[in-house]
Amino acid sequence: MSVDRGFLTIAQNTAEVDYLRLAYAQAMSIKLTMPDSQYCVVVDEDTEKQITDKHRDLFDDIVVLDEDYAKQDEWKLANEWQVFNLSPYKETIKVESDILFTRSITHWWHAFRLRDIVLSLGTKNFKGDPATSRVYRRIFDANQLPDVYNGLMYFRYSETASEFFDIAEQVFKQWETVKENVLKGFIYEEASTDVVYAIAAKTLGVERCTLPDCDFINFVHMKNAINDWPDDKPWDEMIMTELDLPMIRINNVNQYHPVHYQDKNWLTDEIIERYEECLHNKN
Amino acid sequence: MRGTLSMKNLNDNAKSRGVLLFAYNTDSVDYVKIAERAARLIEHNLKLPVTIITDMKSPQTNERIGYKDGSQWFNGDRYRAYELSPYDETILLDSDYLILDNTLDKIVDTVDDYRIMTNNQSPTHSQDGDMGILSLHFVWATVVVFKKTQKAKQLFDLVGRIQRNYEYYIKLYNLREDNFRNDYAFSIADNILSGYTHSKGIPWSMLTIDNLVKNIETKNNKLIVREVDKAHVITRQNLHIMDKDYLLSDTYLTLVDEICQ
Repeated sequence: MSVDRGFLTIAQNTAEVDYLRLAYAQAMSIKLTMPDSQYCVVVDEDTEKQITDKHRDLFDDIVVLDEDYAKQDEWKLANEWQVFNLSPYKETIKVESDILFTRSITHWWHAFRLRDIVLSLGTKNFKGDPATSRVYRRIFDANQLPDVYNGLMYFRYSETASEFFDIAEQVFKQWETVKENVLKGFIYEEASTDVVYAIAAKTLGVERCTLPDCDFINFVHMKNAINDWPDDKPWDEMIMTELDLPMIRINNVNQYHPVHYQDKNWLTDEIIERYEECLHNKN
Repeated sequence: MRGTLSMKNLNDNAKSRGVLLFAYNTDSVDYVKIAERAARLIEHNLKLPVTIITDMKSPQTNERIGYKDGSQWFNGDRYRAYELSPYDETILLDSDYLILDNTLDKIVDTVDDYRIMTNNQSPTHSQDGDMGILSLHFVWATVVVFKKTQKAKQLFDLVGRIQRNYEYYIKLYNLREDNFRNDYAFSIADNILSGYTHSKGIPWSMLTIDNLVKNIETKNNKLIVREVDKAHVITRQNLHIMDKDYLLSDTYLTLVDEICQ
């Protein structure tokens, strides 16, 4: 695989969540399924201090944010738009850090190249079926926004992608105005990256940044309602998971798409140890 | 006819393709009589030999709650269908599944190892569902088509193992009911054998009449199914009839006589 392309995630630790740890597990899942892949993690200064030798051994690139626009935020999304300039690769698959890969998606690169930027469209439930629940997407429906997810996206160093991230930057920076004057029914204080990217996609032109015919370009989302499960408990307290790494079996169903486990407590130390052992044995 | 070898083969010249029915009488339902009537329809419409397996003592008794005040039925030996079938290619049916066309004979040609009925609907609504609120979609063991291959044997062996360890699989698969149910056992076995996904099932839906039936008529290429308070006019096709009283009635016998004359 060319070093001109690679995976990238942002890992900014908070008081609640060790995102560096999630990125570490993600990088192992990528190295297991796509051994030639490059992996870059973007961190802030505080998170950089927590990087150890095992991280350096695993991550191909570590980029430290010059300007942290999410310093005051508990949910650090305000730096998302910066990935275009921070990525060391000509072509980047940007993923949220709580996504694990169970098999190679190398063939996706060919589909991604049909556009300069591709946002994943829709999502799947654990059975591998397209999710139909709109519980978490009411704001999208109310504002007729495209059903895009920033959890997994592709961009090439290009004018179109640059234009997209410029729009995203403006939406993030003008969030109060957008929230008050543009969006209907938005009830949260902070900007959600999915909503910001949906606005950017609609502004840029949905046809320029999505591939609706390539309906395999998305991931399994483990939010309860998407899987028709009750919402009163975290999914991992109700559902059994088996590891046959790199395969992850959830509720007796093999997961062939990237798994957005979403509940950070699911990623136990035992799971990380299993990844380490598996990667060690492979190497 | 009694015991493991008490197969009542309605066609002495058994061919390599045929239909297998299980029929165990209970205190309230003469399943053997229902199976014999079903066999006549099968022979007439599918032109295949039929084997009825009867009177093997079931290892457990299942009380089915919710239909006719909890009528009994024995369902514990279905996993032995592979072992007991005298055919190379078998259509395994419930005896309350009325064969009124020849579509199942056609599906056998397309089967590599096995195919199970995946979808079920009544005339008014889908009867598909999950094995529990946190579980997986279930298939309908009412109709299973299989060939004598290694994978098909694994399916039936696995169903047997699931039956013997049902308490474990209830927890593993978050099953809704404690009573053993073949539909669930076949669903689980299919899930495991298909690499923790699911296999291709029979590509059409089963039509189930789940209310009490007054009578069924055939007219041209149509079926008129009369229930207590309504009737359905449907294209002629196979029917899954839940009302055992109807299947034991003279009205049903008359229908069988008319069709098979």
